[in-house]
Amino acid sequence: MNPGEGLRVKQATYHGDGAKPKEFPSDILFDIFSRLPIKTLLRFKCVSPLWCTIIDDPYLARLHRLQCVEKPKVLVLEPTRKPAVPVFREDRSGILRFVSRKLNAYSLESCCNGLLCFTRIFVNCNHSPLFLVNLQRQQVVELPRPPCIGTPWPPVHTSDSDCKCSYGLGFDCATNTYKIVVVFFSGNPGQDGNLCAQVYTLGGRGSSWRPVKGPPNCSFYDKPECERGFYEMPVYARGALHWLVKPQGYNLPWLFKPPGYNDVPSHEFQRDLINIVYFDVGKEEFGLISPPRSRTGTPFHLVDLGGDLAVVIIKYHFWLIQIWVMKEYDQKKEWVQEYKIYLDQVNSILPSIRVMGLFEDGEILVTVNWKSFLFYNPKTDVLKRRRHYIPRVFDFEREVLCHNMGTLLSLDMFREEGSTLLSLDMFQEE
Amino acid sequence: MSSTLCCSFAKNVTLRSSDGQTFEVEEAAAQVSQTIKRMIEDGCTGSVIPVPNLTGPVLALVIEYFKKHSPPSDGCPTALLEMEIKDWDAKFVAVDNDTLLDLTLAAHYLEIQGLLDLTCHRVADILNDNSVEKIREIFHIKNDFTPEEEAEERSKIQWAFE
Repeated sequence: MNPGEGLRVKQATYHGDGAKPKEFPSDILFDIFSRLPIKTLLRFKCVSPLWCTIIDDPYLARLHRLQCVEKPKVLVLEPTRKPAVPVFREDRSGILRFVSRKLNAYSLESCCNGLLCFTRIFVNCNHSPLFLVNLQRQQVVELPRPPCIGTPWPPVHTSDSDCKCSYGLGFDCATNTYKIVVVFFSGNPGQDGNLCAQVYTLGGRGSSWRPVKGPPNCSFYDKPECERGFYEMPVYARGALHWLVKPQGYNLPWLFKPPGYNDVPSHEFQRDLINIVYFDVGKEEFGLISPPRSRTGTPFHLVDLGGDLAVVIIKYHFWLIQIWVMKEYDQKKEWVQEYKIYLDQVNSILPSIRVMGLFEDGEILVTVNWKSFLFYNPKTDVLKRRRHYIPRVFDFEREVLCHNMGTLLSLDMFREEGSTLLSLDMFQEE
Repeated sequence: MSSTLCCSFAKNVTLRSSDGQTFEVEEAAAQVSQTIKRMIEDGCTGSVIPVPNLTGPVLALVIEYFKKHSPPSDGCPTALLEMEIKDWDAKFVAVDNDTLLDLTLAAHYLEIQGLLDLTCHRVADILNDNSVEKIREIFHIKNDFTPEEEAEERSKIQWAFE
């Protein structure tokens, strides 16, 4: 079944409690529902079986995405030590939280349009289960594992990340389809080999992993477990997935230095080697984009800034964040330095600062230490800590924050034949 | 000479509601409705155009909308006029729920995109603030769920009710 081609209820008869039966064509309900937030719509599934059917219809999810009614939200994945069943909720300050004891066993690989893609960690790459999650709908589907990821696990050369695989979840607007791409190193770790890629189209009947031409050889920034937060997911923007990469075999433990670490040799030459690899989800092609070159700063991470691809450059010595935006994406050439945020406005040490994305009223959300939320207002050039956005101190080992719009799309259509739709209970400890 | 005269007098059409009330309205204004526009083009202008899906009071409201939204005779609408129309629209849909739903249905049947957008937006605003029980009341929906089914649906998405 094609997404968006789901069952459409043609005509609906409404039985009045009183004397006023109304014929309400489903077209109108689709129109009205596409203007409502996801949370409201999920509640309205209880109004009647007909409303439930319409709200589960992929066609409504498509209309809903195009209407852009959903406000950007912060999503916190919160592993907790307390024994508890997995809980997803929206707290009073509007932060979406997913709390689960077992979350530590999963790794968030990618997210796109509000869908999340997880793998089980500490499992051999070859057998690592893959899960697609819609938290708002509390749905999980297990997807077929990508075959033939040939590198042994754990990697022989643990110092290099070349042999890990990287997943990306992307969306092709032209065909209204979601795809997952996996990039992996085929060959002997630390020796010769190539980057290979496989693609899986979600929801296609009898869909399977297909090999596609891999990206140019380079080392995808990995996700070192030791440095919580330096957790590089690909960034989806403008119909493509993007990774910040370094040349293959090029292993640099520190690419930038916070103040006080000046004794480390100059790394100016190193930052010139950093590149952006993209994967065009529609064309299924990889390519390279040169990041903006800044004399004194290192490209730090990528971010989706209101749908545009942006590079965040941090200049620790100047307490400055620069955000460069790719304006004319189709030409993939010109970076525009759109924002400059001086961090000295916030009295804090900044070991791990992260630009999360565009928030309400054009404000930019910045996180520090994955704990506090700062809002930068470009109009007034003020960076502010928002009291009600500071979450309590977590009882965590690792948590992930993400700028998340959510989606109404029911995962039922991505279910493999014969498999069942799972719930968030999957994250519960057996 | 005669053609000039013909244009200087606005041509009228007559619309008849389900309960037999008739309304006369300028042809240009009535063509805000794509359904009526097609009927006029098909040559129904000579006689009365039946609008069987609308009752008299609703049709009267729709005609008010026609009049406000008929294309201005002297070219482009000004920004000021657009502002005024926007204000008028907001007041126009500030009606009781039943009338609002009737207007929505009328806009759908008569294919008046502007009015449909307006009413759907207003209905969405009203829905957003209300409970499931209240929604059933507004839409006159009979709850076809068994209590068990409803409880099950609720439990699947508990967070949305918090």
